[in-house]
Order: sequence, then structure tokens, then C-alpha cells
Amino acid sequence: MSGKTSAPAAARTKSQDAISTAQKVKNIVFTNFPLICLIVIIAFLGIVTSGSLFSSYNVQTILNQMFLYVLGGFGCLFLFAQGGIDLSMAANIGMAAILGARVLEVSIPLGIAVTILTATAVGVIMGLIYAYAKIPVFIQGLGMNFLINGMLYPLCGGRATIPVSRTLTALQSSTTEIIITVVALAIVILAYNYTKFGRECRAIGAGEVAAVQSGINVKRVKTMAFIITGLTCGIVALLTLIRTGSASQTTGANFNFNVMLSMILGGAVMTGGTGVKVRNAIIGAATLIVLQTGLGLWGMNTRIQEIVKGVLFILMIVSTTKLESKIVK
Amino acid sequence: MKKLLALLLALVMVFSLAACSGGNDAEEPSGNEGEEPSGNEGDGGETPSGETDENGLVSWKLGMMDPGAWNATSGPLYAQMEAACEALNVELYYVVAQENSAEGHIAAIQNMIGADCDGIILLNGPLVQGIVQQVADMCDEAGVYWSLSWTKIEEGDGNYEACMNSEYFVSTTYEDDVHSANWCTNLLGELGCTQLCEIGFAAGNATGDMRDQGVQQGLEEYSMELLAEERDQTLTSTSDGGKTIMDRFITSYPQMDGLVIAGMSQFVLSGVVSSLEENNLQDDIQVTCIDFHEYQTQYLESGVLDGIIGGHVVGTYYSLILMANLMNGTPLTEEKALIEDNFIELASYEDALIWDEYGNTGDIYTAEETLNMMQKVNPDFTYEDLLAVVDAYSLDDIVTRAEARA
Repeated sequence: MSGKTSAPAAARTKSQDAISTAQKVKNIVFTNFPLICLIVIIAFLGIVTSGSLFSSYNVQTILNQMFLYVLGGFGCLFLFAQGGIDLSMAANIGMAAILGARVLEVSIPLGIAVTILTATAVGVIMGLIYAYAKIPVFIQGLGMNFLINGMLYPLCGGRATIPVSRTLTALQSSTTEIIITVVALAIVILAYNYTKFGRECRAIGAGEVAAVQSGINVKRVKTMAFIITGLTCGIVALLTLIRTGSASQTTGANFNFNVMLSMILGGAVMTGGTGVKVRNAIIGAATLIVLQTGLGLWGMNTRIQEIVKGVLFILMIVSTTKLESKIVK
Repeated sequence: MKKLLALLLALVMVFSLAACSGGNDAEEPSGNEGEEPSGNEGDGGETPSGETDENGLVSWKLGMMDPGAWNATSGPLYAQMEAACEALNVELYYVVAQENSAEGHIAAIQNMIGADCDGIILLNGPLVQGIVQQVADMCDEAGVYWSLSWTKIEEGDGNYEACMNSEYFVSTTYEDDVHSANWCTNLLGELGCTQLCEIGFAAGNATGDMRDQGVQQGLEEYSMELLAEERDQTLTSTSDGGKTIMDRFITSYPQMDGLVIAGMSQFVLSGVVSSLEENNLQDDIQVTCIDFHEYQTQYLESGVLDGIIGGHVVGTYYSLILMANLMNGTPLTEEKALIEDNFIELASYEDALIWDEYGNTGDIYTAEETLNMMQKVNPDFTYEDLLAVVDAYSLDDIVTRAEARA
């Protein structure tokens, strides 16, 4: 046996040899298309804004505005890899922030715990529904979104905004955000790329039936993915309270859509599987925020900015999807 | 894996660079005590370039939130601001708040600062979103002057402290919201209403609380009863929501004979009117509201609306006059200005026609009048003169000045 190559392996080797250098270059370009787009956008906007985009204030602002979307993307990664999506994230963040802010008025440690646990509890409920009820994931997300949104007003106690203590808002700093991002990145890389759970998430996205047949406890993995998303919502809610100093019914507004947009701009495949990568969250959030900031700095009319962004987003997403299918492995 | 590591390293490097270089660029705040603005030389904005126009007015950049779709309040307000900025050699820079949330507003203000705005004039977004302190911190750190409008701040509350402690805070303008709501409620009392419902802001912001106080005073003065109120922003922020609210009121309180819309009227009034007309109750339920609406003239003509108070579209203009004088090194006052401006009351179709002709134009104050409020152009103009201009603002004042020009 030794020294001999099996027939399929030999065929595979032959096939790999057959990939020309040109195709390899194409593969690299296609695989990294979102990153290339980001670099082109940064370069273009850097030139047309006469370098203003690269001023330390604007770099800091871009990183500051990316921060929560990157974290949100990390949290959604496991669900995204399964081909799932949580449309109740924004409402979940709003509820966690409101409840947390109300408890923070009494006790800071308790308020922090309530913020995180509330969102995580919603994640548990969503996970159980996802795993056991077998209803389309976006329908359950919309349902939970309506349910929580309906509760936000009474939870606010009729108040427009609930302020939080300056002790908490004083925690906001670029350094804190860097530390949180780097720690979260390290955890997500490890959990997503090097654990059985991460592989199982991608396997479910690649094909649920095959995943079941290969012995993966799909229900457990699905539930866990939603719990991670819920936990992320709690952390985002807490960080939002620290950044804005208050909670209201609009806290977290559109967060899920911006995270979803970031992931797709970053090259994530909506059907899940191996097409979802950690870098999608970073590249996508950077693309979104750089465009928002850069077009404004360029002096483009705000109405035209929206149109340009819409056109660019569609082009990038269509191109990414098309190019993904052309990668020869 | 290599690519990922490269990305990670690049990210850490960028973060580190930003962290090392940020935060210390803004100069020591100089306050607004008479000297030329000087705190904008870092990344938070440049000093007004010094390029002067034919009137000797220095060129500078003003940031404002993008007005979005035209409505009867923001339309004339922004039209007036655009006209005044042109007269004053000011570049007006709009930024969109991507989300109507505290986060969205903070990001928009960061983008204004990043675009080198020398000054920022905001409406009531910071008050509504509860981020006045955050705005103060951002502007102080970047050395950017800032003002608020539609925002009453009172000694003892956190917002007042945030503004007064901010080196770069210039002014806030506000209206007597107790009066506006009281005017609406009293008008219903005079029309013989006894059983009212109310649509208003969610409690907790100063404007909403004052309007509630005005409604309460009116209820007591005319011995009327408040049957129900709706303040849920998920309903009060759309026309459909307005219709839903009114349908519910009609079903639940058949004895209702008056409705006061003390807030969010630009969103709910059309829905309310639609519900009244569908139920054929436009003659049985009287309606008054705060904040002008694009269809107010036709509603007043048809009688479905009985009175409307608004026209508070010049507060930002007064803040601009203060800021422009400051930027030109001739501040009108050494103090942080808290200015109360007036509402316009439309109690009839004829009043609405007058407003349409003279007020809804974008040049309530002409370029000439605007220039005359600049000490560089008119050295005799004082802060007291500005307060007199503010105090005179009324339907009569607008008509008189327009006719004098004609």
C-alpha cells in the first residue's frame, strides 16, 4: 500500500496541477474581492478628500463607528455560517439597554448583569424556537422583533430616554474599544476556526441533512448559535449605553440590518457554510463606514450619497456572489 | 491563516496609530469670550480660513443635520438657514443621521467634526436622544462651537450643566411650550369641548413635559376632562399610526369631542384627519395641534382642523447670527445665550394664507436684514438688538417687514 496513491487522490492531484497560474491569480482576486474593493474605496476616497479621510480624527471616527458592527458581526458569525439570521437583534438590544438602564439607576453591577442576561435570555428562546419549531428563521426573527418592539414603550415606563450614570459613560475610550475588539477577535478566530462547534456550524450551512447524517447534534448547535447572538446583543447593548449615556426605544435601531449588510459586503455567503469567514465582519463593517464617512467628506450631496451607496452595495454584492462561483478549487 | 494574521496585524496597527495620535490634537478650548475662534486647528476643524467676502465676513463651515424630506417645519427652517449662510459667507455642510437613534446622532456629529466644521447647530436631536453631554464632550474635545435649537435647558438638570460646562457651547433657542399646548387646549375649551384625548411625545423630555403642563392648565381653566392619551413612538411617528390612534380613540371613547395633538403632528395629523373623515366625525370632534403641517391650510379651510401653532423656524437662524458674529471676532455676548423665541398662531384659514404667502418662503429675514445683524457690517448692532428681533417675531412682524420691503 505504501508509496501508492489511491485513484481519487491521484485524480485530485491531477486536477490541482491542471489549475493554471492565471487561474490561481484569478482565485486570489475572486476570494479577496471584498478586500480589494475596500482598498480601492479607501484609496479613491483618500484621493478625492485630499487625504482628509486619513486624518487621525477621521480614522478614529471610522474605527469608533465600525466597532459595534464588527462585534455584532462576530456574534452573528456562527448563525450566519448555518445560513441563519436573527432579525430580532435590534429589538433585543433595545430591550436589554432599556431594562439595563433602569436597573443601572439602582446598581451598576446589577444593571450590567441585567443588560447582558436579558439579551442572552432572548437568544436562548430564539435558539429553542429555531431548533425545535422548524419555522423559517426570518419569520421567527420578525415575530420576536414585533413582540419585543411592542414591549419597549411600557418597559421605558413612559420615559423618552433613560439616562445612565456618568460613572459608566466615563468607561468609554478608544483603548477600551481596541481591547474589546482584539479579545473578541481572538476568541472568535479560535472558536470559529479551531473548535468542533465552529466546524459544525459551517457543516450545517453546507447541508443540514448531511450534517445530521454525520452525527452532528444540529438542535444543540443551532440553539448555541442563537445564544451567542443573544449574548452579543447584550454586550452591544451595554457598550451602547456606555457610548450614548442613555437608552430609549430607538436604541439599537437598524443594528441587525447594518450587521447583515456588513457581513454581505465583507463577502459572506448568505446560505452559510465555508463561505462565511471571520474577516467578513471586519471588511464589511469597514466598507460600510468608510463609504458613509468618505462620501460625506468628499462633499457629495447627502441625497446622492444614499444613491451612490445603494448602487455600490448592489454592485459589490452581485460581483462577490458571481466571482465566488467562479473560484476553481 | 496567513491572510487572516496579516489582516489582524494591520488592524492592530491602525488601531494603535489611531489611539496614539487621537485625542490630543484639539487645542486648549478658548471659550467664546470675544477672541477669534482658535480651537479648531487640530483634526476637529480648521480655524475659519480668513478668506473674507466683500462685506469683510470671514469664511467658515457650519454643520447641520440633513433635513431629509421637506415638511412644514423643517422646510422653511432650512430654507432660511441656507439663505442666511449664503449671505454670511458660511459653507453649510449637511450630514445624515443614518439611524434615528442616539448612536446615529453621535456618528453624524462625529462626521461633522471630521469634515472640519467650525461650528455645529443642532435641533432637538440631542435632547430627544439624551446625548447632550456626549455632544458637549465631542465638541469640546475637537474645539468646535455648537448650538442647540428647540431645546430648553433649565438650571438643575443634567443638560443645563452639560451646556454651561462646555467651553464651546454658544447658545440654545427654545419656545414657550407651556404656552403652545395651553393655546391649543384653551381653543378647544372656547369651542365648547369637554372630553378630550391627547397625542403627545413620550414623557421624559423637557419639551413634552412642558406641553403636558400647558394641556393640564387648559383642562383646569375650562373644566375639561382628559379621557386618554397616546405617546407610543411606534405609533406617533407615522401617519398610519395617527390613523390607528384616532380609530382607537373613536371606538373606545365615543363621548370624545376634542383632540389636542401636543407633539408629532407632522407625522400623525394626516392619519387623524383621515380617520375623522372616514368616520364622518370632522364636525363632532374638534382638533388643534402644535407644529405646522404641510396640509394645514386645506385642513383649516375644510374645518377638520380648528387651530395650529408652530412657525418656530427661526431659532437656528438666531443661533447662526450669534455664531457668525463669534466666528468674525465680534461676539454679541460674552455669555452662553439661552433665547426664547415665539410661535406663530394660526386660528383661521385666513391666518394660514398669510403664513403661506409671507412666512413659508425661506426668507423671513432677508440677506440685507441678516447682514445688518453682523457687527462687522453694522457695528451698532448689539445683543439687545438681536433679542428685540427675536421678541418681535410674529405673523404681524413678518407681514410688516415684507410689505416694507415691497
